Amino acid sequence: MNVLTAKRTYTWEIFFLSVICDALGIFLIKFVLDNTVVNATSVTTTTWQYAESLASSPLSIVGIVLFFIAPFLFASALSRIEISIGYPLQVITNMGLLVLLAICFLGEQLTVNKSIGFALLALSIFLFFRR
Amino acid sequence: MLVVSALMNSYGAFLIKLNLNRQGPLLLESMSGIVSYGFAMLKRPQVLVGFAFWAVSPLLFALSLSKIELTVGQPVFIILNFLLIFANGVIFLGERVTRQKVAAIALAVTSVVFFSMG
Repeated sequence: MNVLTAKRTYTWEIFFLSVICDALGIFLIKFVLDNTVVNATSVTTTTWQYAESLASSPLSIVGIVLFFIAPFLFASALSRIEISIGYPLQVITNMGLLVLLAICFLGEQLTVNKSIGFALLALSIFLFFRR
Repeated sequence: MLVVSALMNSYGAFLIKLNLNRQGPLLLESMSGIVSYGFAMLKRPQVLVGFAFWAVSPLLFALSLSKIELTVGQPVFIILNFLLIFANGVIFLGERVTRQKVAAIALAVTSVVFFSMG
């Protein structure tokens, strides 16, 4: 195929955008939930206070929107990627990004197990993309 | 319930991928083309069933966590999904099995286990 006339499909760009939307969406929701002060005794009231906090915070609304956009972006990328590659790659990159965000912004610790997880994840991604 | 949740999640993804294959690759040439592709996909009953399975699966997973520890439940759920989706892709969608792909998935599974151990 002539390189000059070949149209770009942006498959992997959309794929990684879906991963970023998903991880960032979950991170923002978790961030708002962590910063919600709950002073209730019953489960129902506590749940209601968390729901109220999610509905009133712009950050969590952005998070929820990103979380719902992500599967559609993933599905559109999946029209060009084998599912036996796309699905595991999506899950591990999403998990890695979430752990990274939690370490950087939620004060979670980088343990030995997480470090090994990151190393294996990097190796796995390398193998998925190696021709 | 954990196994049912993994089955629903993987079967939902399989149904969507099956119909994406039938519909053909999404072309990003015009906004109207993208919208009509989306509507054409949503008109397919199997796609709606797939999305419904995707939506119900996390609820079942959350319910199963009431009886199983998260550090056990999450990796088991992810690994089951990897295996089921890999099997569905190979058996029903004719995707290739290569040593490289198997090694990459094995490493992915191991990384999930390490992340889950915290």
